[in-house]
Amino acid sequence: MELGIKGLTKQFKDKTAVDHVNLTITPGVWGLLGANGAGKTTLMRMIAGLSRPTEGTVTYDGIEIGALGEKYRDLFGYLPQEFGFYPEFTVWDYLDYIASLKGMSRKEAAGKIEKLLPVFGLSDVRRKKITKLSGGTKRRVGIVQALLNDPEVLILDEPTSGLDPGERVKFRNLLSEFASDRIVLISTHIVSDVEYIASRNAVMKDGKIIASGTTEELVREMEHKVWSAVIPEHDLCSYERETRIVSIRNEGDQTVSVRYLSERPLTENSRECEPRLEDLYLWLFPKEGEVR
Amino acid sequence: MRLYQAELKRILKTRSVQILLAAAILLSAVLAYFPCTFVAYVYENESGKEVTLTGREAIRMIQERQGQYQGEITEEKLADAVRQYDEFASRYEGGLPNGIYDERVTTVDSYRYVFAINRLLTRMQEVNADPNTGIAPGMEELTEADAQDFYEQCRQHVRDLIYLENGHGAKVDSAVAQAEMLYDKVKMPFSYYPYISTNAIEYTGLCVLFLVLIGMILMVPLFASDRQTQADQIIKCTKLGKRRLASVRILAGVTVVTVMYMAGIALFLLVMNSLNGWESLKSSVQITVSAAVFLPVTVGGLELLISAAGYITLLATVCFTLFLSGRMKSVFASAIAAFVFFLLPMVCYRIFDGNARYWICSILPSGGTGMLNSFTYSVIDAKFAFIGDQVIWTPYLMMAAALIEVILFIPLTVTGWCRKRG
Repeated sequence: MELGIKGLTKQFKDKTAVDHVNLTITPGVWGLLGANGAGKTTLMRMIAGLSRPTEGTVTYDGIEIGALGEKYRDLFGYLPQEFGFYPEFTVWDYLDYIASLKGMSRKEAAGKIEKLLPVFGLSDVRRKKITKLSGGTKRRVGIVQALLNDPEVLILDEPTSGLDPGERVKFRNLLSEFASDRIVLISTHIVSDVEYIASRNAVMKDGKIIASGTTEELVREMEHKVWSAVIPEHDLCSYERETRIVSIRNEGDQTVSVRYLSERPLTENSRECEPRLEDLYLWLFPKEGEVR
Repeated sequence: MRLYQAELKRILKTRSVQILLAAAILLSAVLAYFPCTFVAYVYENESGKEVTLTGREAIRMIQERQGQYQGEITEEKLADAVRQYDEFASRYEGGLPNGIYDERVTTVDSYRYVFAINRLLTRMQEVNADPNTGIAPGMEELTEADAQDFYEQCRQHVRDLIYLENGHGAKVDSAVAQAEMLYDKVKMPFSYYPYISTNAIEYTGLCVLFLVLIGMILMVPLFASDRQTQADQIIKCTKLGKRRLASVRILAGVTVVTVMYMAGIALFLLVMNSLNGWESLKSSVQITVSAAVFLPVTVGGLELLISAAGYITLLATVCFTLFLSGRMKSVFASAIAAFVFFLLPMVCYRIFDGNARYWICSILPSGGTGMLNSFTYSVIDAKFAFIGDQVIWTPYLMMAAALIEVILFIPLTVTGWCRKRG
């Protein structure tokens, strides 16, 4: 099982949203990291067959997805970043409708919906109209619909936006379990969502994949670049101008403890910290509009 | 089947669909009631007081007082009608040069002596119109000889009318031949059973217009709303979410509008004909509407024909609307485009003239329905479209174009839905 992306490019008038992306996605959870506007959604839409690439191909086990057509969509689950529901549909109606589009029988659909609703805490709202649900609950309905057909390829665009921390953890665990023999591609800019569950990550910037590898491999890039130090509170602004501060904690006595990213320690009392994926993300995307 | 049922459920659960379906049924019933309200009959009661009856009561009175002038309208009955009118006119000094509109004629007298024969005399006036000007003679000019020649003159009148409206030439000769071929099948003598008027025919066409309009509104959001709300992002990634869904959605949409149309038109005909009297449906169109109608049908047959043609027009309009819905990114854009094309035949009918008018108004998807440009008026008028040496009677053209559009727009809708976005 392999999803092959070769030279994939998407050009919108004067903007190249995806620029010659090459990736071979194998089973496991893949994290697609990138700032807003990096091209993640456009890439996912092309993988989902919703958008026609300007150049390049997407293949599943060596066959172009367009040629696979219905067969590809049968083993595919997709949660887009933005999507609409039918206002008159209840959660159950909607899931049953999507199940019918996935070619599932009524009985098969009912069994699967019954199984998934409690997992995502949707049992109590099954008869509620989707329009009456909160943003996070709607998102969970979206995740459930993507899982209805036990897809071999699951593409989730910002799946955890709107979920509370508990739901996030639950979702991550479920996904880890689910992805044992499947391809799961999660696009997010919330790094913690994929840090512990992604077997591999790809980082996108300006439409290009600028880094790819396991979390450990990527994090290794940040060795000797993550530091912590206690600094006087009034110096904080000058430090912020000089480097990327990841976190700040007030220590009292007019001092603050900071975690920062830098090629070299900025103070003598700086201690080297164990790098995390988030550090890499912040290193690669220092500030909006700024290119490192 | 499962997908079809799911799609049908989705459509029928939509609040706007439920409202529009209810509106279609209500509107059909209301429209059916109107033709009957236009009927009036005035008589003098036993105490000499003038009484005006309207609606169903008027129809009952007309049926009671129609006397011999119903059933088969033979030459003898026509001659009797001429005699009766002459006798009535002779009561007035100098006759009635302005007919029953003469100020000396009381309303009660015009109803008592002329109402039952008026329709017969009008047809005789019509067929004896001047072939060059189309101006009909006055009632007082009609003779018993005209009555004897009535049916022969009908054939001649059809010919005269086509030449008068289309000029002379080989193409028009061909149109005349087409018309005569149909007219030869018209059952003669004509029949008349009170009381049905042209209002019934026109309101059938009007009911079709409203039902087609509602059908079009129902279909506007079918594909476009998914694109607008981005519900299509998920749907198009499902196994059956492309070609299969598009086909099933069209089928489900057509099912909804078909049921709506059938229920609406059936209710309309049921109510209207119950009020007018079912027997009146056996009347010849040639005596009820115009002697120049060369379609060999009764009023009942014409009602069914207009309903059937309306259904084909509905299908063409719906398929075209679905095509627009499948290509537009918003319901608003889809609605505007659909409305423009729906109104276009009516607008073109007013803007254009002659052959261009008939072609444009006939080949547009909603060309079969409208105010003056509808199938109803085309079928009762002698309207022909010319192309090269060929001539096509406009009702044929409308139906042929509508069927082609149904066949054309279904695959185009499917393709429109399936195509990938930028």
